[in-house]
Amino acid sequence: MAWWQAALLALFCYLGALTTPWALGTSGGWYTITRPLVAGLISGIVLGDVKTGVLIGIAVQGPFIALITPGGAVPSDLSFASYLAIPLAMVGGATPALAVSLAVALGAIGVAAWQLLSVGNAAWAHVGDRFADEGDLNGIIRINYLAQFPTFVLRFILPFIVLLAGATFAQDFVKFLSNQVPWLVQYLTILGGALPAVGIAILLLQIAPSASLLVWFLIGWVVVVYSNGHIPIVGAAVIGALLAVLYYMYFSRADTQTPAGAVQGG
Amino acid sequence: MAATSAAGMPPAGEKKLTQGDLRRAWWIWTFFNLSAFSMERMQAPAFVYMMSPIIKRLYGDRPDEVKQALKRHMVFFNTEPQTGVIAHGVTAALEEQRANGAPIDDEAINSVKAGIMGPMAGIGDSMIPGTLIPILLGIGIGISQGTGSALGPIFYIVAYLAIILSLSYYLFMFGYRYGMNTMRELASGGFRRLTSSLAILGLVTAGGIGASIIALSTPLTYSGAAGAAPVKIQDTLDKVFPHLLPLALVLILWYGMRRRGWPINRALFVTLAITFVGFLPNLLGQLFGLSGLKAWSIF
Repeated sequence: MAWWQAALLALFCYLGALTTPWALGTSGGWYTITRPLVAGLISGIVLGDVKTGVLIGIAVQGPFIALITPGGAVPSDLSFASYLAIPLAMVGGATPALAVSLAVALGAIGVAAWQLLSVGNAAWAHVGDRFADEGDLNGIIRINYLAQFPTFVLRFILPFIVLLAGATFAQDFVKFLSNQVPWLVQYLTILGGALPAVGIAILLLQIAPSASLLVWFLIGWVVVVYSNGHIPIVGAAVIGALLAVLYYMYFSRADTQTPAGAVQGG
Repeated sequence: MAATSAAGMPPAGEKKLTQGDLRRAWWIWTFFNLSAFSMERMQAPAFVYMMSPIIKRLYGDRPDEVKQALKRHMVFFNTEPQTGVIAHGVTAALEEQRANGAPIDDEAINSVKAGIMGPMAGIGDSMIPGTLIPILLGIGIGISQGTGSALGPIFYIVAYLAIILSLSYYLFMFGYRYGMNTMRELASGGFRRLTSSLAILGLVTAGGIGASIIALSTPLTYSGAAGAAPVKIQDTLDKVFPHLLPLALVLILWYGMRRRGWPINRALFVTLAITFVGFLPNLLGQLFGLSGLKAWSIF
């Protein structure tokens, strides 16, 4: 990986971070640039292999498909999972399933970095209190920009160093694993295939508060598995849309409590 | 609109937010909502920044009111940033009424903000990262799976940004238009029916995604009659219910998190443990050269 490739990837890591405003805030950053599906495309473009990038991105997306950050508690750090794991897996020649295991591990490590940032940032709020006391509106506005310094260090400088250093031995490392401890690679591949189940279970947890709602989930599931792949995910989504229309027109009642976290509240 | 529409033209000297002020506030929030995020005050600095065009318009000529407004909004605030903007619209409407002399104190404004941000954090999290994003990601994955084409990610980028930005803008203006009546509008049956129908779409799509992206199968074989070729158990399973093992794993994890209150890390660990135990015979076989053991490996 050339230094400019590491720099570009680190730049996307920063732009997509939860606390970076420049790319349409959370909408364009965290929820777009940092989704592994998108990070796979970007890594593929930067490293010159779109196909491999997207395939690894799809695999890594699985465990993180329904990642929610309730009250700012990040269960897994997507920035590092996306912009460290995907490029390093690509450079190292790892399979998509192996990349998933790597991404989940890096995501877990990254949580500590996120906690450090979100606790440390309280200092900015205290500076803001001083400005509020003085009636200094521009002072508080400035805080929103100044707070970018710690984010930049954590999400650009650190990933840049890790990518540059990691890329030099990623390939040897993967080769070493495959030759010396083949069982570990085999196990991590099985694990990587299974880990998306965690993502789907989290998704279900969000939208199926009661067991009876699992019926809808199973409809989507059996339609895909019994069609033997002839009905793709898009097909399941279309069937879901039709069922949703039917439900809206004939079954839902304003006074009955039905699916969705619509009634969860905070 | 909220205070003046009944009276028609605002009387001379009445403070009025322009469409431009509101649009600027929404853009500021869209970009900066989490940029100075901290566990202690969450989105408070961004909320004040968002309020800046509104504060300038309404209280620009009264420094004491500016100071009070800054203190009023520099308090803990947290919601789902893209849909929670409904609270910001309501706040803008309330501030406008207050600037025109309505008896609305700091506490009233902050209790309305708090009353909306909580429910909107719940609804927003389950509707956006919980439903909309997985559906669009699922479609994107479906487009590029196997081929690795760039179209899937591109579909996601375009579809998500188009939907979320227009929805967020609409909700902001919705909050401003309805002011104090916003929550009553939201609690109406129509909205609830809409969200529960969307949940159906989310659930069915989730099933399709799950069936497509989890890989878990067993190499176990079953030797029937002597001399006959051993039967692969996976083949038998696939004839009855394809992808049964991934489904079982999802349901175990769902049950654990739902009923047993497992945190996400526990779910990850359980997945690690199940696959490891299943792989153990293979591992021991390789480490100690016991090739017979390998046949007992579940995964």
